Amino acid sequence: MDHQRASRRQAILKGLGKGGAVLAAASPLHSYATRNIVTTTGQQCTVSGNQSAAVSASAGTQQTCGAYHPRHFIAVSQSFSLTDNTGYNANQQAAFNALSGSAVPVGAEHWRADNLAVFIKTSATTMRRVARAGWPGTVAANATVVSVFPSAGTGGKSILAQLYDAWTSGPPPGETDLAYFLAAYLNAELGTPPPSFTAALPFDGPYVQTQYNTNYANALTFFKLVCVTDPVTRAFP
Amino acid sequence: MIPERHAHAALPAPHFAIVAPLQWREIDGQWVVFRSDPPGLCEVDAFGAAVLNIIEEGPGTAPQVAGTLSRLTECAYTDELVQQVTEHLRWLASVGLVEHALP
Repeated sequence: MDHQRASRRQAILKGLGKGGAVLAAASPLHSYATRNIVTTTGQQCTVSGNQSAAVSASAGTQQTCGAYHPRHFIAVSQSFSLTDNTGYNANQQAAFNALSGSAVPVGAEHWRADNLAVFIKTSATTMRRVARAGWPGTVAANATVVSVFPSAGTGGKSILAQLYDAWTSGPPPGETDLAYFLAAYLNAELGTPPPSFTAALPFDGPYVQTQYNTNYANALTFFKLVCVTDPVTRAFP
Repeated sequence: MIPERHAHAALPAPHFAIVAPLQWREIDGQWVVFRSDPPGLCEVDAFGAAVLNIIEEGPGTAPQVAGTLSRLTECAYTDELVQQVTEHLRWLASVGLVEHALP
């Protein structure tokens, strides 16, 4: 038995107790009935469950799963000028130096020295800083899209830049297909639900990656259904 | 004609095995089990989790699972324990987490 399984068994048995507590925990029989975890529309909180009819369990025995909208995961700054660097701090100045000039294409990225935020050239004369917001600790701020979905064909573009692009390529803002898969991945790795829900997505990041490769359309429908929290609809400042 | 209860008594205890690889997550003291193929999700209580955890390690019958459970938890191996395990296995089968398997 590997370490993870051994730890799980230990935790399960700890919750079960010893001796007579085992049977006490199992009685009466109906006490072990499980609760289905459903979406807000009453469908099973899985990709395949989403295709099924709504479950019939009573509301009192259900938990509702939910996840954050793609827009939730980025924090975007005001627009910085690429023609006037008056008052810029060191990070902004470095970005100004890297992104200004007609030779640098719109969409170019310049990572801050600590790799925790990226400046993106948003037009010939402007840039914005995009940082992660509410990310799981397992995903680096400067992770690229293809590091998660190798077949996405986005070159070296970062997840942060991709989510920002999604925001600007609506309508609705932030809701491209790829953004939903990225949000599902981040939510799954996060493992905790938004405050208004009682259950997180019941799978991890690798599951989302598999769905992207093998079950794209069904998974996308499901992820659009559950990744709904914090869909900020106003424009960035 | 053999009475039904006698016919049952003559049958060997069925083996159970997990349907597909499982992922586990503990939420607020409850075990949530995710079956990967086809994707499905259930929340189980401590006893159900223990039974499922033992079956996950390898197929077995209710008496075998009860024996393992008795050893792990230091509770007595009784007919009542076997019955509880049997009922749980049937329920886990009904929700698609375990299935009958060949010995």
